[in-house]
Amino acid sequence: MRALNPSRNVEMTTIHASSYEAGALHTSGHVVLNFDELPVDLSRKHVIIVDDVGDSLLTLLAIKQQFKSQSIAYMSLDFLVGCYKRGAATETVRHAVEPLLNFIGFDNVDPKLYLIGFGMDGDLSGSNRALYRGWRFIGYIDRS
Amino acid sequence: MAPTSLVPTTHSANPLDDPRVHVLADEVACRRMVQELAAAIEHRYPTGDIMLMGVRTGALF
Repeated sequence: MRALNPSRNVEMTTIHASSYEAGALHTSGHVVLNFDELPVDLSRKHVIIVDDVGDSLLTLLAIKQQFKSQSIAYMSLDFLVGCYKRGAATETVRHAVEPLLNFIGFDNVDPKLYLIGFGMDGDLSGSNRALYRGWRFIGYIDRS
Repeated sequence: MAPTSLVPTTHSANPLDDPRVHVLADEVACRRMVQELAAAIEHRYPTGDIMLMGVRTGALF
């Protein structure tokens, strides 16, 4: 948000969306969405969804469906790391989500890597302490 | 009563000291990526109100 032109009228909210159980390494396939503050009126807004990892794309599909009934001016989906092109997403989901994709930071990453840092955390210890979330690089944990 | 330790961790304080941790994109590359994301947003939506929704990306903002 800080990188955007400060003259722009930008509102921000956070979506807690997950298809992973705590400590799990694979998606459950069922996405749970929780909004800190669900915007009431999006009718003239450019809605930009920023996710960290695009792998199964199920989270972005769920968000798209959540706002289906709202007359949003434009919606785009952006993510920092793209894994879905290497088989992590089904063709059906790709077909539904890809037209809205605007930006992928680091694309074509191996979906088997467990990513950490820059908002992401591999809770391999099971302690749920988010040890790696605040680090300013993107990395992965070698689980071999 | 003994004070509670705030750092009872077996992990290294610096993740780069952990041999299991590998870097995909360093801090400079990540900062550049955020700049590129902002530029892409402003290019796509040059005018009008923006609603930015972050999904689990609190560290970014």
